[in-house]
Amino acid sequence: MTEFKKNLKWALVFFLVIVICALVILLHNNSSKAAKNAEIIQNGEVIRTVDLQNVPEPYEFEVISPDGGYNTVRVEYGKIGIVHASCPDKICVNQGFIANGILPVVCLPNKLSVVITDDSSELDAVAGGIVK
Amino acid sequence: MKTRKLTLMSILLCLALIIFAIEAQLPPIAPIPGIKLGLANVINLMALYMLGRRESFIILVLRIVLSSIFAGNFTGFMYSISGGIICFLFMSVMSLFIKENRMWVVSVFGAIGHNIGQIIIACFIMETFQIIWYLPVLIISAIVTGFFTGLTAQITLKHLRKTDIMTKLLED
Repeated sequence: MTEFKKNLKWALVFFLVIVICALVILLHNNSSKAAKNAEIIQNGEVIRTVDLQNVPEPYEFEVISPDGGYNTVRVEYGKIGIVHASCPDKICVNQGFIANGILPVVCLPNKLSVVITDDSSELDAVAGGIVK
Repeated sequence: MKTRKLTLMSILLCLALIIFAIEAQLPPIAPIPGIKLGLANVINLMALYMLGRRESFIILVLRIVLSSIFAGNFTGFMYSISGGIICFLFMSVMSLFIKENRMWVVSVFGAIGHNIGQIIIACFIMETFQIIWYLPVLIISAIVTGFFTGLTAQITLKHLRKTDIMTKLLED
């Protein structure tokens, strides 16, 4: 019985951690406003900034990485995502489109990330400042 | 180092490599980078309790180096080694307080440590600090996957203790 209780105690601790993490995700989710700009970051440098509010027609462009890989980025009104990639795992493609600053789309093999930034959001502005 | 111990370590290393290779063939379970089962950690966890910290660390480093040579690249190696070392630190500290019959707790801490290590190195490689926001998602996944891999190691070791591999190992 006491063994079971000790297991239960740890299970409760981890359950609490999950709840806290979920709260952090939710709070961060709510704090980010409508998608304004997206930055295409390669090797830590912002190589292109896209205005997501001014997209009369969806368009695509390719980003070539120095070692020959490519990612095709598709821009639609208010959202952005990677639709084709040379990497084997295609995780960035499977991530789909993002419309807020919670999680960036990242392609680890090509060292590419697509980040949504919002100038009015203090948090993203700070993070963006470090990137630049 | 006794021959029996060396042989057992070699077998464990080989098992870890096989598990790692098979797991790499499975499709990613979630469309977020960094989320995977981490089955190879079962071996490290078992080695930690069967043989000790030093031996477990040797197996861990050798597994990462060898798997990177066979099937990886330098970037992959950086992610693996940073995750692996922080995972090992978390697990070896927790194993001081937690007995073998609750190994799954140690495993969860190891999985969380692994993801923290990978996030840190990803911040450096990508130079994008927004990646830190993956951490809550990765911690939740680490708790779930760490629980299952830990339980696997716990049950395997419980049955392994009944065989004469362990009794002979203790005689050495």
